[in-house]
Amino acid sequence: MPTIREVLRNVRLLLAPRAVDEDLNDELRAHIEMQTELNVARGMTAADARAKAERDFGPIASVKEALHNVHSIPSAPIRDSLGGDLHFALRSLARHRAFSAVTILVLTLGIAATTLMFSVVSGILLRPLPFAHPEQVVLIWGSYPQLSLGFSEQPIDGLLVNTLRERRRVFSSISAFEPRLYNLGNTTSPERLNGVKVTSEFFSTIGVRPALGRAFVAAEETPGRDHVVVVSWALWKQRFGGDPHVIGTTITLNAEPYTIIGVGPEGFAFPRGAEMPGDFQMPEATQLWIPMKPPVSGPSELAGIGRVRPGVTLAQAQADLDHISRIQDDLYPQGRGWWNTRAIPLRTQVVGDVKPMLFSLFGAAAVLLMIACVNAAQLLLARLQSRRHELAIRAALGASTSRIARVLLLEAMLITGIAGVLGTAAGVFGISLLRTLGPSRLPRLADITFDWRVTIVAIVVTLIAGVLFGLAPAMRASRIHLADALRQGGRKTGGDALSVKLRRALVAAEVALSVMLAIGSGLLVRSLTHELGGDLGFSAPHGLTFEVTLPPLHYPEKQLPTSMLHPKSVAFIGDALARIGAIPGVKAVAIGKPLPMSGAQESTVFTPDADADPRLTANNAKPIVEYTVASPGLFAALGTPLIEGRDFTAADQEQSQPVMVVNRSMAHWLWPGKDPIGKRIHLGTQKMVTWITVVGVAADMKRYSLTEGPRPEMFVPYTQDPYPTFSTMQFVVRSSGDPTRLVAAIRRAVASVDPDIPLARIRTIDELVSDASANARFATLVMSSFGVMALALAMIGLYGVIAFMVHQRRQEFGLRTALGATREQLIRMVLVDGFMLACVGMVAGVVLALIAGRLLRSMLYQVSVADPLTLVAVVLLLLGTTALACVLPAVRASGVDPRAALDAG
Amino acid sequence: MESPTELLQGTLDLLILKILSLGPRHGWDISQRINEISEQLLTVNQGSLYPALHRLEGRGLVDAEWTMSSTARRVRLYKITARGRQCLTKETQVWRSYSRAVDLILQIR
Repeated sequence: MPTIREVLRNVRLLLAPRAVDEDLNDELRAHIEMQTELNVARGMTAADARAKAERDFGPIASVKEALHNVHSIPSAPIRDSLGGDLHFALRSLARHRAFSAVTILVLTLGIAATTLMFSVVSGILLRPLPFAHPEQVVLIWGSYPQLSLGFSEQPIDGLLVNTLRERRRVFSSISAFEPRLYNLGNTTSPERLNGVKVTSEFFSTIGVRPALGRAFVAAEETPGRDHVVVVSWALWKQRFGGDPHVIGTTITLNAEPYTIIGVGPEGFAFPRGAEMPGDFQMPEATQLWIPMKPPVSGPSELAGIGRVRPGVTLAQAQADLDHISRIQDDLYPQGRGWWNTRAIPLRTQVVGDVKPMLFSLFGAAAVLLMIACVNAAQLLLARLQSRRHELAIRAALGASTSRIARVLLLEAMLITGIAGVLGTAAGVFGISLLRTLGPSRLPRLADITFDWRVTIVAIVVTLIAGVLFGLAPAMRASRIHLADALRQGGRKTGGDALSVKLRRALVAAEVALSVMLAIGSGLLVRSLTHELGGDLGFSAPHGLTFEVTLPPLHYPEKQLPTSMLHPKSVAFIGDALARIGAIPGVKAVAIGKPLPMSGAQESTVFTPDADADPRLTANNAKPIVEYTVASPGLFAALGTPLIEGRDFTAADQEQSQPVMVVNRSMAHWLWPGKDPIGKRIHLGTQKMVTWITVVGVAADMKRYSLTEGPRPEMFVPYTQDPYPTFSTMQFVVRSSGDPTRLVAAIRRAVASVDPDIPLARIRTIDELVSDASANARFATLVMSSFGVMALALAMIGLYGVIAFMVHQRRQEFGLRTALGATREQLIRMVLVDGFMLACVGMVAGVVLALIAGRLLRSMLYQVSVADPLTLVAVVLLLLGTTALACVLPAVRASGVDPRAALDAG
Repeated sequence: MESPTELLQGTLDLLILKILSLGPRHGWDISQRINEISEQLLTVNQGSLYPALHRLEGRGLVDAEWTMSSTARRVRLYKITARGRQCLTKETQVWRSYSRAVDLILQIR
């Protein structure tokens, strides 16, 4: 056992051979000087005394040489150390090009994956939102836990905003906002812009200042003074060329003049669709902010945002909101239970959904890095085995063991260093790729930037691995017995038993980790297949959707006293549908609001008839359903089967009998076991007692996500819609061929009805569906690439060990052949060995996967963590991989010429 | 005066340990003491003294540290360790029996 002192000295020797050398010089010089003094004391002259002392001492160089041997310091000419050794290590790497390339590639993969995934995690989850004190900002939503709406976040009421604005106990400022689309420009070529109407304190509440100009003042909520607009940085750059004099200029929005008073800060586009609840039809990125007074009547899509006073906790904010709800309950007893609100921290809101996904992917990247390190260690160890002969010769030629060790270590560090640089570069490239191609539903995509921290961690980890695994062989090397190694060298490139065991353990670990990743990606693939293969309730191919917005100036929103759609709007819809329907290639066209997967939600409270299941209205409960406004032909255009009854027709007009179509879930829910046709409900609770009669039953369709369960839903014809919030409407076209070819013709058709109306959000239904599964596909893609890389690495490792084992046992195989073993027997021997190793790793990997799989649970749809199909598939895949890795060495083993093998012994 | 005898291989370590068992010394001091005590019969080859000291240090039988000598010179002072004393005891016995055996054989007439 080396003493601590020895270890310390060796470390010092390694790090600073020069200093140790200086010490030796000092010691010898002191000796000679003392001898000189003694000689002088005995009566010699100074010069004679020194000369005699030096003569007595003998040649200093040879003493030092002897000392160097004791300390294993390389002697002078080659000692000029780090430079020389580095040169040597580089030469050695260049000579073993294949080895170096594979090792570097392996580590590069690991470092790149970790860098990329951590940058994503850091950008989305860790970095503070770019607002002042973002921790003080909460979103305020209506909350109706008594309803199964699928989304817990519901619109709030304008009354609440007013109450909070006056109260200001825990909230220092409060704002409400709702999305609104605007047509920019005059009639020549209108452009659709994503706007948000906000109350005046919006910018101060969220904590940003406009980069140019100013934010809104309270007076600008007043109609007449509210035609001012803050434009986003992106819009300013792209539409106004970044002109600094844009402030004060006037633009036309929805045919009305607005004055630009500010430009938002760079990157600011709150609210973004990906960061808001799915049922709020928020724009992908907001381009305009326009002031409004909080609306206090009528249906709203209001979202609330509040800034709490410093030091106020979430619980205190929630308590204040609850207090207000109780006051509202007392003031409006008929609305009891409809005033509940919920505060959600801004960060949770923005990144909530993707957190488990991102952490799982980061974990997978870290596992990949681990596999890469193990693999690199494998390769280094394997390389050492084959270099024993070379090292022995070096030792014989006078290289001290510590020097050999240092060179080996340098090689390991060089490989790591190169991989670090390449991996970082690849990671940075991956980040820019992700930002352009990343899933649109990933929040804060723009905030993802290269994060140094993890790259440093990754490189340090690899360095430690490099040093550790470089050191292991180095220590081994320093124990090579010269004579033994020279005698055996190149023949029995024999690893001693320990290093063989170490390598086998490493490979088993590698297999285990890669099995874990493979199972993870298998589960995600299965889940995605379920998602995409599930019955949507509508047909995706050959479907096209788009939106038009009717400017309120020309198409008034409300028409009292009937509250139905304005005749001008009805006429526009009728004409547009007729002209689009006349285009060759269009099989069906309809409007539907909202269309499935469009991100919007409408729902309504209703009162069922006496035939309905009495449990629905027990305890004064108010049932609520998804609510869709449709034109005749919607089901045909969506490809949704009509199970019973009829679709709407042109005969369903404002004056005729109110009718509706329900989906299968609603029929089962309201009238279980009865024929729903002819049954009735009325909307709302008391006031409106217009009974609506069921005339048809449609199949259930997925509305917001591919993973949701069926929900009750009702459809009413647009001509009978009592909620006329209809300025934006969605069209769906079913075509016989590629639907995107029809876009130009559709544009012309709409322009022939009203040339001022632009088409917006032109998307095929395929795109909508793929958008809805964007995050799942992203996770699956990333995880599967990690899984494939991991398996490939494991295969390389397995091949290395088996090939080495075969090489090592060549003599034995030769002997067996000589004694009559058949080729098949030899091949079987090798295969059994390889499969044993793989199986050990596989069992460990399956256990690991079952444990780590819990992290994936929230991302899995209709797949259990212990999905047997995935397990079997991965096991088969691994067995195949193992066979592939073993077959070449096995064949080689069976072909050993007994004579040659025995001679070699 | 007889000409000084070269040391037998392996005995230098023993002598160094013995000298150091009497107290810490630096290299030059050790060689002087060996000269004096052996009445100038044994001379220590400097070329082997220092490697021997460093070897003993490496084996943990002696400790070394830099100090100032009485003549205000920076010197490396060697001290025997506990393991060194054990080794000295053992090696002394080995040497005694060895030299007695050699003696016995040489006494044969």
